[in-house]
Amino acid sequence: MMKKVLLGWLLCIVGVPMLYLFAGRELMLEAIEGKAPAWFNQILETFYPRFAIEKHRFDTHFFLSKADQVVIRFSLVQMFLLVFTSAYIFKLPFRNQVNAFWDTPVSVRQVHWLRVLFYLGMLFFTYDWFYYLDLVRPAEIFYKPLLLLRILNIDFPSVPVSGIVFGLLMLSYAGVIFWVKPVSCSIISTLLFVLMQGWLYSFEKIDHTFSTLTYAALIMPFLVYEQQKAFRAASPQQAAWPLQLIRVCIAMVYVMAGLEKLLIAGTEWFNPESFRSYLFLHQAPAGLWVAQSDVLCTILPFGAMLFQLGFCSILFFRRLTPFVLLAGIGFHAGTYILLEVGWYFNAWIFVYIFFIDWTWLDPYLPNRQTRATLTDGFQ
Amino acid sequence: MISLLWIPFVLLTDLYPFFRFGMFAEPVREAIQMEQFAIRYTSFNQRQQVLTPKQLGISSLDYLLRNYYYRNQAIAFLENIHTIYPGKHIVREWQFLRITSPAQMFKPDTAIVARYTIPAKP
Repeated sequence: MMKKVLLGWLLCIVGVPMLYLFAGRELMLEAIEGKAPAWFNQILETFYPRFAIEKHRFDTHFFLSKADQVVIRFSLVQMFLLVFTSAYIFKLPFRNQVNAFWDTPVSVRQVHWLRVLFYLGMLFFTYDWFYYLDLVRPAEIFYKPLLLLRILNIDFPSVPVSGIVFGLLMLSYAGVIFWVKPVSCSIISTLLFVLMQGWLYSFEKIDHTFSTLTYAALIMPFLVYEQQKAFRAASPQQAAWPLQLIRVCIAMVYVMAGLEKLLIAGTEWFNPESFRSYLFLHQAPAGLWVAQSDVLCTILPFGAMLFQLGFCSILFFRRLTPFVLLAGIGFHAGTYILLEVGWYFNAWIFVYIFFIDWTWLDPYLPNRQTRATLTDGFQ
Repeated sequence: MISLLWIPFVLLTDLYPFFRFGMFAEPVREAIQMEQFAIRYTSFNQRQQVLTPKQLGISSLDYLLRNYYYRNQAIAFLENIHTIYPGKHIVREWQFLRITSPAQMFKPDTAIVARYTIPAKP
């Protein structure tokens, strides 16, 4: 039975590119010429809102290659999932390894420090969001809500509403940090963080500054919930699957960024002229200095690709952690110095806290709290 | 969650709160022209002033300008800017500028792509 399901899945993976070649490409051409059926235009408008803008900027080839990319990527991801699922079902050692990865427990102390550090970090990165919302308020006329806010029918907030939301966001951070209704507070903080960020990004520009922080924030309530469960059971250890999931998400982000370059630019991305052109475009003094060297313009993009695709090694080889994290700090610092994108201490580097063992901070726990953690919990 | 993460990657677009990470993925060639946009006003005493994102409180001004230009809504953009600009009482005319130049920025070429003259008060 299982084999039949997997075979059906394989047929779907082969069938989708076939269907695209026979009908999908034609539909895309019709959309570029403005002759596509309304339902197809609606799909394009929903998932590719920039199409209306970009069809005036780029030629047919650009859009066809984009459509090709969607089909290629769909097939690649499905193929990977199929291989993974098949291996999980039919190879016992692989299944055991996967299960061990998700089931290995983590100490409640480690999660305690992660929880406190993470929400302090959230506080640091968002303490000025009320100010920024107020700053863009005069430009409300340009507000164009993101898909999520459109679906939920959420308008740009008035001053009192943004003040209340911001106040609740800050209070929810405090609640998680000081263990007052921690699960509810972590859920509220995630929802409000996503909401406020959504408001700020609803001016036709999505920023990736807080992307990994957002993913971690979406998963943190589960980690806090598992911690609460462990406290109630007076267990010194708790389920680690949310922590592992955060780590996997962070690693995947880097892998996806690397794959984007390989799939879009291919080997052209390793051409020193490509990197040199980026340096000239951004005009950073250090970048212009690097642009003079063929060797650096070859080594640096190659190193960046190696780092992005290799980041996932941190999940399987814990001994590599310090080297990978140091490479990550170098990567983001280099992006800032050479291209003036980001900042030295950015949210991308901050989320590396999830890969670090924080139990060395245990002696700094207040005694009362330590006792409570080990015996009765905080309930 | 892991599946959701890959949807923007497959569809080549951000689906907030999930993101696509395509920055620096396109190879840049010198033949590609640099393209920037700006807005400028002429005051009643003939002084010209280019507005910065900071003066308008819109950090995404560059993106807005590009999007409105390619949606053929440059005049609507200038009308909106006039509505929100605090110093509008001195403005006689708004101009939407398109600046193009080769990648290494020699001899930029500036073109006025739209104008919005403030209607005279009755």
